[in-house]
Amino acid sequence: MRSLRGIGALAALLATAIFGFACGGTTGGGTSCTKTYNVGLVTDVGKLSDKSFNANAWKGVQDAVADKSLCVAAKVIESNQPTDYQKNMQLFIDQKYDMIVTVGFLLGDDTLAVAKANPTIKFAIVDYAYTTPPANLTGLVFREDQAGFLAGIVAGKMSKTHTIGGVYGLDIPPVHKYRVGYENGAKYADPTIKTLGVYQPPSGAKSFNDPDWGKQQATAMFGQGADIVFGAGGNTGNGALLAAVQANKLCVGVDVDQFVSYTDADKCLLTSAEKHIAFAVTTSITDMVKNTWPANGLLTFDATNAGVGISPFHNYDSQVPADVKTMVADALKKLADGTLKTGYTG
Amino acid sequence: MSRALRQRLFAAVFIPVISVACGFVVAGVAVVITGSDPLAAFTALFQGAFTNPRAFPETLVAMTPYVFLGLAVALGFRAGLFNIGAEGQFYLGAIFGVLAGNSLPGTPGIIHIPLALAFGMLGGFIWAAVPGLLKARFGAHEVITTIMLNYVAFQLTDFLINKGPMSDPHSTAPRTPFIDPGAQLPILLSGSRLHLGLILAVIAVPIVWFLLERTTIGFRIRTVGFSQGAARAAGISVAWTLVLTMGISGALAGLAGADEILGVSHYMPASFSVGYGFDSIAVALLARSNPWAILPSAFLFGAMRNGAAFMQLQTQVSSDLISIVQAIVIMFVAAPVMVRWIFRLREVPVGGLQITQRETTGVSSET
Repeated sequence: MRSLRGIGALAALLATAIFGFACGGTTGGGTSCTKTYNVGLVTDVGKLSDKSFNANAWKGVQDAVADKSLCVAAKVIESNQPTDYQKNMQLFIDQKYDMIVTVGFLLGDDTLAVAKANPTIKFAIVDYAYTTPPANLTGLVFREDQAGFLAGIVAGKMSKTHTIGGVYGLDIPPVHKYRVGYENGAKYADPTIKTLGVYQPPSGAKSFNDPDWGKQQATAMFGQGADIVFGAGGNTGNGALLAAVQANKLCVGVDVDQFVSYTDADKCLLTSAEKHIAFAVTTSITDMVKNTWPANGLLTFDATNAGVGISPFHNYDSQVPADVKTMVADALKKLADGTLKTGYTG
Repeated sequence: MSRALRQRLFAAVFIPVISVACGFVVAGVAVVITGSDPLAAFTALFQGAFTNPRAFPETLVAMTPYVFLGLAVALGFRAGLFNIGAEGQFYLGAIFGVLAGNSLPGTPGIIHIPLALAFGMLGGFIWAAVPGLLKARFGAHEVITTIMLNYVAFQLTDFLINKGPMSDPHSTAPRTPFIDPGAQLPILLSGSRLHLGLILAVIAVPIVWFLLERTTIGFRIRTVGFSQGAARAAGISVAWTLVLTMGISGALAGLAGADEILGVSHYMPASFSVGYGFDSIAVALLARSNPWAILPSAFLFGAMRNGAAFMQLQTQVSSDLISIVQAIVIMFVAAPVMVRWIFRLREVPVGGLQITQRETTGVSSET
């Protein structure tokens, strides 16, 4: 079992060599730096190859390194198991790092514990919020409803049957926000549109990881006349995208540009409702360097700070009319200045 | 030194050492290809495993489950059983350990800890005895059934801790609540995570050795492993021995799971283990199913697992590199003929080696 993974890892290493981008550490710091800030990233067990949260958080760290004015150097440690989380953070602390970025809610408890024990070091965690965090810990959260709203506009405008579907993961805040935004965005674009949608029931075992169920639900929605489906729920959502590929319908991805991260769905992907994770991480690192660390332990990424958005249309770019693109850009502006609401409250 | 002893020593020491060396050479080549410095990587691996502050105790922490799990897999090998389900039994041991650790709050540790560990063993025992029974009664191959039960164990865990009956209602992450402080294993070295489990693991080695080499049950296990026909002719109940061996093997794996919960994490997180049970097959192979040899073998794997993070920090070589080492080690240990061929060595007939070879091919036609 492990041996197979080993051979796989060997192949992967060879592949990275061939394509010439060894995933080496990035060390920046121009000549004008009086101090180099060391930033460490600790992934969850999904590791850097997840093409999603971990990969994008690392990109954010690298972007900060590339900005020579910040004088940041960075390293990453990929966690092999949950008991590694605290240990890996401790390794950075032992090396006198200035800031540690952790990825995802699986590290929520451990990040809090380590941050409390090391008040002089800054911590940022992607996609997690605390009620009363210590001053050195910031949660990076996103307005998923705004990203969903923008994607909803595109779906609403592009639907020929005036019916769109959505297959969602568990009914938890980020997923709920995506759904509300998406449906209201579609109605904003086309007041007569019919929206279908279903949350995954909290049966437990396969939350966010039941592509078969997602596929079934999406297929059922196509049967009811939907011609676009939004898959927002990890692998469950990916199942919905696959259904769209097979049924020759359109689909909308979630969290990251799934055209890049989930190429199986390229054929149907109109766009993806995106959280700009890399941007959020870079912003937080900048806060650390420039001494503008937020006092309330929270950074919210939304339309005002380009923290959310939609992905390029890729294959469908020529088919999306200019007025739709204008409408999206306009809505983004209005969401930012507050004249447009997504309808999500609380 | 007699010729026979020299030959045994050769098989027990030389082949594993050569295998590990080859593993590092191949991994080193992979590092070179990716444009990094293998010497720097392996130096950092060594520092991360031994010389850094906190490193050595952490290596022992990582080694502890490998000892229990290595013993579990080795015990199966000796009866001719390929228990590939150690990972699932590890999970079940953890689930049962958390259950016991969460109940009876306020119970003194002297009672609570043994109880929780015993519960973990029970969980692993049940999970492994089922494939044992299926094999003994219906001839269902344990490789298939234990692999399948791994998935059942993973999904069961997901169900239980992801908003299921065992999840912590106060946590957004899928995990169980923390166990009762009384059930936590005492820390051996303050300021580290090194816990009593290491001592338990070290004690388990002579116990398993004694069980195998000095008891009737052990004799039956070995006889069944050597030849089921001969065992049957000698009046040994093959079916019963298979079930019992699987059960004990599972109990050891379950003990590892409970020990990990009570000693390190104190709750059961999502993706509790990523491959400990599978790595342990390599641990047992490298030790050639000898209980004493499990200790150095588990130590090596613990050191690699622990040092990998610092290696990545220093050189940014992915911590997955150690799985390349492990894979090559398995290849060489499982194919000693290849080692002999490469190093132009003569064939040395050794009993234990043959057993290992036969078991890795998973052949047992007589059930």
